[in-house]
Amino acid sequence: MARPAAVAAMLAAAAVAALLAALAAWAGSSGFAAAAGSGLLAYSMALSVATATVSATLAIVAAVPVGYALSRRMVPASSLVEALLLTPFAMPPVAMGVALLVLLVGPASWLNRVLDLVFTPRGLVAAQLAVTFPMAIRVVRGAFDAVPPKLEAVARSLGCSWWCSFTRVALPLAARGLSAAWLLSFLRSLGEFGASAVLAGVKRDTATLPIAIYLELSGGESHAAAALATLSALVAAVGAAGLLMLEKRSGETTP
Amino acid sequence: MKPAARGLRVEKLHVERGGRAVLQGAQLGLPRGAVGVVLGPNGAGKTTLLEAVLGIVRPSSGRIEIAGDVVYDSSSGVNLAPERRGAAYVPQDYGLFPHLTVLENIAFPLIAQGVPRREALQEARRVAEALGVDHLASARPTALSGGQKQRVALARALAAQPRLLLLDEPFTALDAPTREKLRPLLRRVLREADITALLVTHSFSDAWILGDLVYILEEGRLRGGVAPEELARHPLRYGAARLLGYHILEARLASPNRVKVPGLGLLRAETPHSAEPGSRLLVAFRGDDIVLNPPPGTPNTFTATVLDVTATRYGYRIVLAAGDAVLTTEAPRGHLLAQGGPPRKGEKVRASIPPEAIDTAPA
Repeated sequence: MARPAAVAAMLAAAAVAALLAALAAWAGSSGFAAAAGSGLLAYSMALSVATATVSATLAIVAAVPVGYALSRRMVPASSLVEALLLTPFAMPPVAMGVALLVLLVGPASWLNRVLDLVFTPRGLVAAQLAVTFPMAIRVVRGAFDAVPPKLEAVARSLGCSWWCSFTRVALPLAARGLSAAWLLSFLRSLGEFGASAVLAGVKRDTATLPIAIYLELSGGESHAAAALATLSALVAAVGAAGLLMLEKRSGETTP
Repeated sequence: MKPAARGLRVEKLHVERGGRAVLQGAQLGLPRGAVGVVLGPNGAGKTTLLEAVLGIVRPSSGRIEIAGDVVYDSSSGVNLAPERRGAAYVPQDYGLFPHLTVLENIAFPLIAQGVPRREALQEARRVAEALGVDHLASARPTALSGGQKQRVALARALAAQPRLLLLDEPFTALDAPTREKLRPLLRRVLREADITALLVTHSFSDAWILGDLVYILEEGRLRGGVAPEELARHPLRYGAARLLGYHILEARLASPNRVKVPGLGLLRAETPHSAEPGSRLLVAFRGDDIVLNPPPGTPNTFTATVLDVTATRYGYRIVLAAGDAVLTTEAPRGHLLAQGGPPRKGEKVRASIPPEAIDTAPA
């Protein structure tokens, strides 16, 4: 069993490597030059990183209280609430985009007047947030689950208020899990296409990496599309390495 | 009779958890500086009692006073937050914060209460010295042994200068030699700091060595509240005989201070004044109080058959049959060797129980 399993793992890794190599080869230097020439390479990269940073940060800030409340069962009918919160995670992102669009041009059009989200780069953040938030809740909840409530009880018995025990005990002990949740949200936002395309539109000013790839491809520029895809693979590789590092180090201070 | 209870007073405390009544009218009173020990089997509600006093579990009714201040009262709606009760909690697994060093753990209550970090660490170092853990100051809790964790947890609780210390099974997770060393340390520290403490445990040794007052918690009710010596002398009176592992046998009163125990014959023991000759009684005694091969003329001597002999850490565990009664005793090795070695299986031996080691109560 041991040898075939190891062979399977190596084969899987080789398949991914071959895929990425083929992509980069197809892109070639001409593909990168074309993508750079159209202005999409730098713009889409910057837009992707900027929107994903904002949406991942918003997702974690919002997920911390929600995940904590779920972890400590402070919510009535918590299983039901959790299932509801998780539903968007299992929805096709395109469907989520339609839901957001319908909401923002219909009943919540006032919100769109304030925030200007439909068919704008800001809409990208809203779309990414909607898609990543459920996942962020899930991971953040897991991070708080790993912090024994007894430690907070001890902290409070030592004169630490609820807020004090939350910030001095629960948050620091969940910190690695929260970092992992941020990174996962960031990576998921980088790859977001469906909801973004519907809410923000497929056009040059809303072209994140995935949207730019789609734009180039539909314009017949397959080499430029491959170059952008290669770039997104590089960003993903850095993120994956970061995740693994967090996982590796999380064993050291878990209670 | 009732203590002034300026340390801790619990009155008619009812606690429900998951629809089940865990504490049913628990009553407890400790004078200031006293160590109260609550003995009970697993699942009796010991931890729930601590959590209710601590304030993280809300009782359904009752009243709790710490150092004379009402911290919970269902009738007036008082329910102080845990951080305002002044009761420092040391859970069974010590509850050290893994993201802080030993010194930061000990300084935690001071920093939480607003003492500047420098001062807090200085004071923490002083407390660490008092408990012999100053050399571990910069270590992480995960690197400590069980005994060291226990000392650090104690130091941290003391640094909070609590009005009440709550200890949950403080020695259960420790090996025997560490336990023997830490019990006297805890006793000394509690005496010196003059802190009221409530300790829950299933170990009678903890109660014996540390307790000023010992309570028995069984099925949600607290009984006792007496010195450990009194509890050991009259376990039947406080419903503690089974919990403490006493042998409990049925008997009849023959005449005042004489009981007839099937299999053991007529035994001398202090009997209840109210009991009529011929009435049914329970007698209780510790197996370890049985004397093997007593000198001739020893009162309460009976004959028994050896059913089993096994070697233990201290000597031999010997199972005896006397009539229908099966008795277990542990005899020190040296004692048995002086008598020519441990008895053999099937051998008939003489045994006795000192009259003052026998407790009696109406059945």
